[in-house]
Amino acid sequence: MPHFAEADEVRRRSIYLLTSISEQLLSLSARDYPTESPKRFIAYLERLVSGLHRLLLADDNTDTIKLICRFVKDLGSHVRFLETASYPRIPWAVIAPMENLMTSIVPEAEIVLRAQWSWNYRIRQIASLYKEALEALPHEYFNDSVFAANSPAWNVVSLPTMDRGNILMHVILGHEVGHRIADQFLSGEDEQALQQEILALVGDGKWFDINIEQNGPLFAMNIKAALFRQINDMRSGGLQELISDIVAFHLFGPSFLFAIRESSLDSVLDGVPIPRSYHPPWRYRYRQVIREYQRQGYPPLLASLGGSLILDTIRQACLRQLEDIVDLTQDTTDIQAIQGDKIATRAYQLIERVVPQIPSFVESKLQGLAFVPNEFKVMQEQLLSRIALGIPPAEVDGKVVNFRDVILAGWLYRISRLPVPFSAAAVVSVEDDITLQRLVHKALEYTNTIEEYGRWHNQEKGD
Amino acid sequence: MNELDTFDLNTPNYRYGFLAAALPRTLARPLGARLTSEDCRLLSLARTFLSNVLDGARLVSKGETQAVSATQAMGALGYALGPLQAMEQLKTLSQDNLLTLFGRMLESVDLSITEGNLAGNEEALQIAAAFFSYLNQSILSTLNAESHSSTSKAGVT
Repeated sequence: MPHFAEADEVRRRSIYLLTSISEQLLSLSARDYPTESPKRFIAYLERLVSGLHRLLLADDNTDTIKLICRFVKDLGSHVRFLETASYPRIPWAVIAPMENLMTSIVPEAEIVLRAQWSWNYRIRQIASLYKEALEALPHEYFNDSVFAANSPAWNVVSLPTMDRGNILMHVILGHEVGHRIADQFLSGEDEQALQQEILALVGDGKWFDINIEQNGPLFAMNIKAALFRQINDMRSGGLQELISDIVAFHLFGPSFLFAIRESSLDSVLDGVPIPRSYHPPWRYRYRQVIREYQRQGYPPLLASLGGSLILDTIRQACLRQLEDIVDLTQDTTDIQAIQGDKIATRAYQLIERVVPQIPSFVESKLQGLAFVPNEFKVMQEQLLSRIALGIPPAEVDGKVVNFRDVILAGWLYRISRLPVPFSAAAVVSVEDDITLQRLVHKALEYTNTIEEYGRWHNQEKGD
Repeated sequence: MNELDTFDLNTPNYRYGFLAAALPRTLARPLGARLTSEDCRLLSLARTFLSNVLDGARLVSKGETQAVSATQAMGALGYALGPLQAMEQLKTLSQDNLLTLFGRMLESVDLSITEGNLAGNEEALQIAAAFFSYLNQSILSTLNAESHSSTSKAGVT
């Protein structure tokens, strides 16, 4: 009976898996997608698969081949990004303005937008993850994919399938893109000063384990290193979320506040951050965003809406909703919960010192991109009146409005829980919510088309 | 909303795993062995890793804040401590001796890159080869455990 070396066996297995991925990519390349990005991403993955294949044939290191085999299994799971990036899973009216917004903030990014069954929004910087993972392999096999000069920074943007028609909720993507600005904030900090602060908080580590010195020097070092890491990670993870929230508020205004409240209705408000999920408690996050809402002068703007039964109802409902959120943030049980946790209380001492710097930093990074509530009263009153008549809220005085104004009008109407179209006698149901989303969707399709035409027309004139 | 998934968690495992898989062969050769440009590139990645481990160890044991990035330094130290505790000849090392040993490994790797062949302290290079071999096995078993349980933690705790 022939005996095959382990390296040959693992290589054969890896090549089989790569061939399977190639076949799936080939089949996916024949599908229709809302933009050209997914097809370009497929071509990029095909080149990556081909590079791994060639490397497998050239390498005889069993340990390397085993790791490639494991990597290929993970890579295979990324085919799902493309399976769910095609029609009809994607609410395409929201793609163009979101892509434009994201690429304005991260110019080198190329985006694949996909729906996923689990309820979550996220942006995966997949190209930089591949770069990091494959750094130690010979680059010559990946010079046309992962390590290609000027290769786009592929970002896979996921939104929940269940809420794909819920256009209003997708402003949460503003938070996801905010993580890139949070990265800039964190990388610009004074590292040495921060390390000193964390070291002082770790101290001798006996506050965590009284017997820290009793199991040898490496054990003590391991514990202190883990404490340092946890405080550091909880601090930076918490700041990532808080900065991203402020970015999203700057991009979408009160729409974002309504969206995070709705997305967290089923969550515990005072959950202490835990390893691998360093999100601050929701109440803590609401508090930061509410501060920004007040600082940017939105309460009097919202209070200015009125002049009809519908607009008065909307004003009262929105102000009440926002006052409810303010009330939630005046309760400090989240802070008490943080103070009761040995790691969190230390990490949040450091976070608290930085929080006041966030708004001005975000402002400086979003120049020209932030949502500006120009002519708020006139604009929102007209858009809301259109919704009340069952007309897409796309225009004011015959002029197409920005997609963020459309979304805000949608949120203000939804918060008021009025029927669509308005009827004083009608009972509001989920159907009204669906109709509202359709109107917003139609408005976005219309504003996109007009903007695209405007760009094309200007180009033609330029030529 | 930005929970880490398996691939996020595995990325540093692949990064250090591929490095640790390739290095023992390079480092276990006799002093004076010629290094290719790919060997030198790998050794320069090893130098960054060892330097991060040293920065992390100095930070924790001496309070020295030389690390450019605490996250990278502590991440590398986290990876290193597992294999060190598993290597029979190293697990009882004092913190000072650990710093000395990693300093010697770093110097030898650095010198080898400069000279274009394996150079420096032979014993330090042999220990480095053994250390990376342990690291590779530790990462492979972490990845194996991860594939059986999506909730298990990748890397080191």
